[in-house]
Amino acid sequence: MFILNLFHPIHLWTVSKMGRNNDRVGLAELLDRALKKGIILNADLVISVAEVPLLAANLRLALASVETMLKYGMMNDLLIPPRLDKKEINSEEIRQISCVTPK
Amino acid sequence: MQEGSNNALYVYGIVIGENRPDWSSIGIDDNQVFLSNMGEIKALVHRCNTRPYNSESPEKVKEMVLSHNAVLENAGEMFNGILPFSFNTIIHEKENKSAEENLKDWMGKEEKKLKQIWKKIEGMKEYGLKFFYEPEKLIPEPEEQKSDNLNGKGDGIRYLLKAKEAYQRKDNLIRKVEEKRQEILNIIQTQIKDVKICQPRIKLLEEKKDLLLSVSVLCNEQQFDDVKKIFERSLDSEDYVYTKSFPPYSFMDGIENGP
Repeated sequence: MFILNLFHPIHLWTVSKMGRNNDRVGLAELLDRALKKGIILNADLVISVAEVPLLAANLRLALASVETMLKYGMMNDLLIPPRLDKKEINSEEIRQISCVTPK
Repeated sequence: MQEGSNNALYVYGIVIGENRPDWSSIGIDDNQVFLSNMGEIKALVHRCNTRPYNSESPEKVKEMVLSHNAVLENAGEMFNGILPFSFNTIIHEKENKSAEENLKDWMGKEEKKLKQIWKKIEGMKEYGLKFFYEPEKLIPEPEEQKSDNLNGKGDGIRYLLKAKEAYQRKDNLIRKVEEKRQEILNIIQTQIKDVKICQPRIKLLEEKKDLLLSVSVLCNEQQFDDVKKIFERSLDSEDYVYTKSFPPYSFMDGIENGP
């Protein structure tokens, strides 16, 4: 537990010039990187991470109010599974996708 | 492949260099993270089952990603560099080979590439820089006398002239934004060689200004301090933000496919 405390999230927050929004800016920057970048193995020896869009959506909930973000269309890219056509999904359906229970 | 047993490996990242058998860390869900060695190439892993990490709780998911990142930061300090894997990389057993054997096979095959990238990132970290602009500052509102030109004109002509003016303003703005973007990019590139232009997927509500440029840079702390100083002198404090350091997630090009 000591190590976890040592790396408390506060250690990761952005030093920005936007004052009180530091933590959220820092988290957003981290998510942009940790979920989409780094070494990505496509090989069949890696477990499929098809649930990642849902996982990313859950993270957004931690960042801001879903209602507000949905209103501004900020979560669409992350909420809609790639196999679905974005144009065919409305906000209500997006909300349902975000509430799918993981296996 | 059984989901229940711990027959898979969650991979956080790769380090290369001297042996440190004593290194360990606490990872996602308090799992013990250890090194899986393939010569001087070492993977940071913990044992897990084959189910990707996820949760219905946003806080829990946030905690998992932060734990992933914390392990990478810990190892990065210890080994003077880290090749980070994307969150949720889990290697499983396959064709009568254990997850560990599969991982080592992959490290062996990718050894050359891994060493090349290690050379580039050793002693370096990733930082993010975002720049914003206000259209009104780049393209000031048209002066009053211009509007006087509309006096005495018919409604149709007035409409067309206004539309033309709006179009020209938009065109000007695009040009100015591109100039400004290039100017900032040039300043960064005079200090730092490895610069990646990002397409941020998340826009926070508090970011009221328009995004001019978002970049990730790979450099050491001193180089980043130098860049910050330049912008502290030349830009308004509200026109940009910068991040603390990250493991170099954005600079892992070339290692994308397994066997």
